[in-house]
Amino acid sequence: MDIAANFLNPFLNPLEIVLLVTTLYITSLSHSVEQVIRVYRNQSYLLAIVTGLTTYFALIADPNSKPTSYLLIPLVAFLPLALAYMIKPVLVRATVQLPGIRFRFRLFPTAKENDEAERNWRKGEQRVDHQVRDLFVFIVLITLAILIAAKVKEVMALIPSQNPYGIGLMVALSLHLAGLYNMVIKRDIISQVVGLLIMDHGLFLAAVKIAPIPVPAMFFVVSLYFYTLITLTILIFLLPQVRQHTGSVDLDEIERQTRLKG
Amino acid sequence: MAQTLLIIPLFLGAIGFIAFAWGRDTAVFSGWLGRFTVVASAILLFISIVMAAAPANQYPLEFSLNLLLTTVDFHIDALSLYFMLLVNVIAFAATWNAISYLGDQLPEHWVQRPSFFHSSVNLFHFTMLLVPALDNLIGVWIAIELTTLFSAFLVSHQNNRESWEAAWKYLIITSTGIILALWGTMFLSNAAYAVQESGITGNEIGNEIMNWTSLIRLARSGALATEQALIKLSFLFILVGYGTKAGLAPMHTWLPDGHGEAPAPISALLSGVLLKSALYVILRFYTIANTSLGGSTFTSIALLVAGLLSLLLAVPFILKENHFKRILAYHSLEHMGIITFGMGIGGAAAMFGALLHSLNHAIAKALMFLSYGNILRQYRAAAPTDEAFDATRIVGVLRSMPITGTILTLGGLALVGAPPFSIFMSEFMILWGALSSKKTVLEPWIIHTAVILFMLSTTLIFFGLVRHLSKIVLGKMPGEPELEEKPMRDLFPLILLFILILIMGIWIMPGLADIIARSVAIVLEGSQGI
Repeated sequence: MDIAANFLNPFLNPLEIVLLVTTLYITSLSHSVEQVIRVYRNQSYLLAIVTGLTTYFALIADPNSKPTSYLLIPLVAFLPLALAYMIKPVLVRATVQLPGIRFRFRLFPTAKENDEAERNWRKGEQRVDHQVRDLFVFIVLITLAILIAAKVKEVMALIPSQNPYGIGLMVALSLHLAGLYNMVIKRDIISQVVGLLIMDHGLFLAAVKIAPIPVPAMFFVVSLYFYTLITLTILIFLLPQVRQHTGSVDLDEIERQTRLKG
Repeated sequence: MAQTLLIIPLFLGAIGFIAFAWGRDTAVFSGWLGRFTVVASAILLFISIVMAAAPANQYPLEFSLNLLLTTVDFHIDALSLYFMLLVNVIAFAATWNAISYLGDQLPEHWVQRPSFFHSSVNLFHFTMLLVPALDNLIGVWIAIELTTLFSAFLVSHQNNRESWEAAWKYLIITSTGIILALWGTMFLSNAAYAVQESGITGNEIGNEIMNWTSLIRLARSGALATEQALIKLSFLFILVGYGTKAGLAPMHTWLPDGHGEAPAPISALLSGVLLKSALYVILRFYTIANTSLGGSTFTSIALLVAGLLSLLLAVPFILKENHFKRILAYHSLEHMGIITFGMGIGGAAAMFGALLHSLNHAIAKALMFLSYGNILRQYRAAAPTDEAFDATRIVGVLRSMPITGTILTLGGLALVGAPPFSIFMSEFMILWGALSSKKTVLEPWIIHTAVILFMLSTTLIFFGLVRHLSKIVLGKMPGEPELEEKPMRDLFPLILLFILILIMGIWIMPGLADIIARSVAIVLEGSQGI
């Protein structure tokens, strides 16, 4: 391992722990959508660093790695950055009711739509529902992730250069479970979108922690590009329509009105 | 020829999409696009029949495509061909029916985007053909995810509150499932890596490490047997992940909304084909897991539990009052349960029955969705001023639309497994495979308990569907509207599907039996050359 890697290696695990803390904040402690967006973006930047470093350490440790293999580092790091950039437009589209919208291909919301969404988010800022419950569940989920990761590590050949202290898998699982919790328990479309995006973060991390670098991790990363593109495309075009037709982001409210039961 | 199968729908889809995006979505253009789509589906069906009838020694077909970052490997064997055939049969009937669907007068709030509809159908068709054609399991995962992209907007095509809500549920639930499937694939890649690092295999696999053919070679050599725990973990994630897309319980909750709210031709494609595409992927992983685990009962038990759970969960929803399309969707849950049950029993007979049931269910369910869709549109057209048209009020179809009503009645009987229709044949084969299960790895008491639960739930479901169906086809509607039977042009795909159901109930065509037998050998033995 080169000097840079020796210097950077000790930072990897603390950064992974910070990823957990940001997830805790998003799922349990945040008071408003704007806070969620801010913290999610920070989590994305951190994740870009963690995945980039993990890939770098693995390539340094592999005597057979080719110079072109290093292209994997920006490729891996770009994914969370793309999500950091897209989270706000996606959530704005989930929030703003666009009058008379039929079916438009427009990628980003206008400034007016952004303002309206922010106003709507601020209205709900004081609502801090179930914070203690969410905190408790998060701790339970972390414990579960630790137990699962410990069990998985028993049966799996964790690649040492990708998992210097072996907590990356636990963090990836925690992100997955926390995202799932956000989607299942919280009854609004914004939480579901945020949950899905947190699960995506868990998946990005898992791709560089579980799959061997550079091959087949490279295949997984390429597939994650497709996945991210598909998910964002659907969210961007589907969300305004859902908002338009249901008139709400509250799933309980939507379900009360719906005839899609049974 | 195999490339043509993929190029035609991709080309038509791309043309339609470009026209739509550039605002050239004129009635004339979409009319032609619709007709071309039907002709293309007919050509694809013909090609897949010719390919399926070709001598076995011509397979597997293997070819590669160089993309920017990597090479995409294709591997088409008997199992792939069988699923391609299944896709093309249903796609032909659905695209034909789509012309009638788009041509009928729809309520004003339904936004008609015919070019977008046709191009999405073509791209959806393309992705469902891509799934069985790919060798790389990560590529297969991408193809399955692409099916979501092109079908989500088709689910919401009626552009009302319920259809958008259904599309949302479909997206969120299947996306969650697909993430789990990728975790499973990663665990498998880790197992292959560990085997390769340990030097057991003797030769480097390299870039093809995630190809099904490479993995099955590793499994058959016994090398993957050293990673049993990881293989089991991977299979569980795969079963839950792709099982979500296949509509298996308890991740089936998108199914009644998605199938219920989509236009009839799309419901036929979703229920008949999309679920089977996900099932196909489970089969590929099942072969790797089973071959790696040797005589273990792990995969069988997992599939049996998933199958029985789906069967049992479908019962109360089919027995209760509900919209008929939702009832049909719960029937998909039941039938996916039956197929998974057959796979879980294992052995050549049950696996043959399970694969045959995939085709039989696809045909019967497409018939039901398409004929009920025709009925629904005729009743709706007869009450144009009724904004809140209630489909549960439809009764007396046998009198008002005698041909469609008869097809719906007989199709319903076929769906619940009444003889002499095709589903009876495949269900019988699965049960026969279970009860003569000397070649399966399961304990007799497990099989007997499973068979009792199977019989109990299918009997209850039989009564449930017959009750719903009798309400629709018999009786007299107060203020019965004047209805016309659909023209023969619109009835053609229904009659074609019905003839298939009838023929396959008494006779399995030799060519079909041959390709299923070869597919069974691939699934059970992981053999590649047949």
